[in-house]
Amino acid sequence: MIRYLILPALLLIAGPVHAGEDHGHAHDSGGDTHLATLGDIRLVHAWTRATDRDAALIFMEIEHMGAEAATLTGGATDIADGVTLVAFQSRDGAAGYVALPDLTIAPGTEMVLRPEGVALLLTGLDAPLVEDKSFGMEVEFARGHAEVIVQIEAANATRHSHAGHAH
Amino acid sequence: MDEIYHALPNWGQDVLVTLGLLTPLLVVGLIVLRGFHVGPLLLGLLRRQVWISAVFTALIAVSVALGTGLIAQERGLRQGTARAADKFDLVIAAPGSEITAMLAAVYLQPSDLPLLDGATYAEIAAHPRVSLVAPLGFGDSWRDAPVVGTTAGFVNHLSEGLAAGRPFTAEDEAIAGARVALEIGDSFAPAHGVGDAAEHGAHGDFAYRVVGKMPMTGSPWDRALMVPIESVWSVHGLANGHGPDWDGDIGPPFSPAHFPGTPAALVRAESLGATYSLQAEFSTAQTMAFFPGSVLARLHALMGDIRQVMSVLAVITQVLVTAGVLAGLMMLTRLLARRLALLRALGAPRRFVFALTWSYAATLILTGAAIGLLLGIAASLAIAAAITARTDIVVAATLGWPEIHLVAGFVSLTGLLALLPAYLTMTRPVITDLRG
Repeated sequence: MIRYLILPALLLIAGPVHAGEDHGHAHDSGGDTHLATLGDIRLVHAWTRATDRDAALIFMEIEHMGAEAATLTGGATDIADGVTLVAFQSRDGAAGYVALPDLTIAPGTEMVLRPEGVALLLTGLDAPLVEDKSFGMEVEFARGHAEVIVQIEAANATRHSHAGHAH
Repeated sequence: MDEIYHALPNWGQDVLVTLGLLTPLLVVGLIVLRGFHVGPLLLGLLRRQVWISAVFTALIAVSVALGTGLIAQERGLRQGTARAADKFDLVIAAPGSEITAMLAAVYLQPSDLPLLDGATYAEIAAHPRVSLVAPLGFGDSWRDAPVVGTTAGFVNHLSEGLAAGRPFTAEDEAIAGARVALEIGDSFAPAHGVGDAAEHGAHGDFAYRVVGKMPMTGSPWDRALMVPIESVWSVHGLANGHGPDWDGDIGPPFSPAHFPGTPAALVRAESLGATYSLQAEFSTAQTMAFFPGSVLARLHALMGDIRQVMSVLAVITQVLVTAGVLAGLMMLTRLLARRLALLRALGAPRRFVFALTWSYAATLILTGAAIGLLLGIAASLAIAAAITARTDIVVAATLGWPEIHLVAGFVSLTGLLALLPAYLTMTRPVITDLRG
């Protein structure tokens, strides 16, 4: 539990994590906990659902304003054993998430990670995810990674509680 | 404990849940029947009250059958609608309602959709990660069969090979769905529109000839007629999608300048990841890209709440019916009071009368639940056949673990309720009952 609180607090206090590194890491998001950037890539409104199981899906909006395609590959976080990029698929009447090796995001597009779509799957969670808390995680791209704060929403949430707000 | 449970295969988890739900009944049964051999008297009681027992059992069976049948039906419908959308990886349409576009493209429900223009269609078709793109043009019909303009590539994708005949190669050729009452060689004239308002003869003397027949897909496309998209445009007085230098071969590539528009385009990509990338790329101010499977899943998630309500209502209904049966049982035991009092006078302990009455009620409940499960299967099959006939979506509703869990919970709960009439019987005054 403490770990959930410490990481976001450190991130808030520290401001831009890894600021000053030229390439491959998140850049300053101006203290906005709903926004992280990696070059021309903006990651907005990362969220998940409260759960007491050992797995959870992470959703967010990824806006790619650059000129060359970006490749999302996965992520990492201290609170889970593994992070896998997954995509929803329905086949023969059965629906579920299957692992993706990577995901190409074309220049000028917005990739929305959402329920029944693409998501990052946390497995081996250390502790239950509690509503209204948050935690930090790295979102990895082929070109580097960005640190995002993941907001824990209600167990039946379908969107980030600030979805639709501009950042 | 939680880790052990999640490490089990699905069937193992289901068996465990079933046993867990039945545990209260088993524990109560062991405690109540401990030290007694009620079998012969129980059989005698059932034989003597055979008609009343049969009526009580039938009431429980019917309530269980209705509950399980309805819930199995909901699951079957959910799986059937999802299966029908399997072939529609990604649909791109003009911006609007995803649900309306899905109902039109996947389930062939008549809808007014804005059109994708030629430039947009060409952009989709030229995308390096697109392996198949096909226009879907609706609006005409033959009897109750929608006539859909598309390409031979789409027909091949949907059917995975025709059941008979060959793909269409000319504007006046058609492929018939498996449930369309047309065979290879038959001709039909398309009507403009669908249903009662369809205008017959609106397209003059133009007629299609069926050259191929689709296999069953378990979707509304089984009742559709697929024709070249060029013919749909032509019979409506539009350009046929090809420029002046067209070589006469129907199908792609289409000329953007001569492309009249399409309400929807089916898109397949080289991989699942590429499909999601395409969805992001074509979710713009000019285009709406969506996964029918995802839209359905969101709808089904809403239905999931309804399913929970249905399950609770089913259990409540079953418990109410059983409560009525148990009330009847209490009246029956009053009629049997003299015989039970005689048992007591002959030296049977109170607890034996308690055990006999409870085992009688438990026998009715268990027998009724078992017959109800069988009736539930029959009810599911009958309702599924009716839904399939009305919607053309193959609904394969069979009882599964959720229904077994429901019945196990019901049996345990009502088994506990049956302790009440047994207790009341046990506490009846023996002398008064003997006097009759």
